[in-house]
Amino acid sequence: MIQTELNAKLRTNRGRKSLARNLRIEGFVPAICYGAISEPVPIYVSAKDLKTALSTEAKTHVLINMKLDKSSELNGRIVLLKDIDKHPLKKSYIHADFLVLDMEKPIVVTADVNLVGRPVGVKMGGILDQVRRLIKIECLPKDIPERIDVDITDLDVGDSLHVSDMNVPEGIKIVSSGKLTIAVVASPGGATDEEGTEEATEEATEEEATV
Amino acid sequence: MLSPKKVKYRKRQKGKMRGMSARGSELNFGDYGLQCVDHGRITARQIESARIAMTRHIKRGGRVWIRVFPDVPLTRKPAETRMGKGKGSPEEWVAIVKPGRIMYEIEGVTEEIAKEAFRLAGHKLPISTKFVAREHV
Repeated sequence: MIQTELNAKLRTNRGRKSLARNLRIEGFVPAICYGAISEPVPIYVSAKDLKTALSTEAKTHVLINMKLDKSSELNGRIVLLKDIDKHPLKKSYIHADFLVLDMEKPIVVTADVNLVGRPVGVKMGGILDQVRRLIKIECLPKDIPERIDVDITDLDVGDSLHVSDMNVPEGIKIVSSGKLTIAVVASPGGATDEEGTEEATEEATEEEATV
Repeated sequence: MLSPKKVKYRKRQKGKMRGMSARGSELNFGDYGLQCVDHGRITARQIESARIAMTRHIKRGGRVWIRVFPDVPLTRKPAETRMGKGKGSPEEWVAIVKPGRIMYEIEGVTEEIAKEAFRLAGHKLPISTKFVAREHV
């Protein structure tokens, strides 16, 4: 569990888009804190500080100690990044949602699934396809893992790994359905496109295509 | 080539291309993607041509996802026709893309191969594109 600090200020002027836009021009990110407090608190944080806070090994799962005016209910509370809006091209932060935590109560969060090892099937020419990168888990805030490592060295061509096959550390409960697939080692040739097989692959690509 | 199986109306008005891509601007399937930087109309032929350029480069390995679908009909009047007499007949299907849209994704190849594949694919498209890789924040 990695913990960091973030300085924030209360956002008193609200109600117009231009106010939030001006904050962004000045290098701040408008944000909101909600959860284990009486009322949601609108705040703004420095974009640079937020980027630094989220650049630790825990990425978005870092626990953040909020530093505000001492009169604020939010001062000194531990928060977790719940959601972040980014510019589609520049990837600059537009808005952030922070969840105020009650350290004694378990919460449901999404955890990254990290595949470890090179599957046997890949050595034989198969293609590893990670179908699911995130799973929902329930745990105490102090137990939130940076990522969940899954060993895939035994996967052969045609084999798949499901959520039910995963071993998670103690204190963590998987909320996602056990039937969900994490990774598959597919037989080679899925993306090949030779002159004569264009028609055949066209059908397959249409199915894969998402609008 | 990609085209809708069935449509409610054969012909559509031109419309405007404004703003940024509201959805489809994050990598959801693969590790690398080709993101468009401009507004544009991508025809089904161009989508297919770019896909072929990509898959030929990555050869045996990797998986490709196409994240755009040409569902807008484009009409054209026959050559040497006087103006009037109604709207032309549907000729091709296009996908309207806005800046930020991820058009293709690749998984199962190295970054160098993905970059080169997307460079080749980008040359088949009428808009500027950029290479994006998966990141957490």
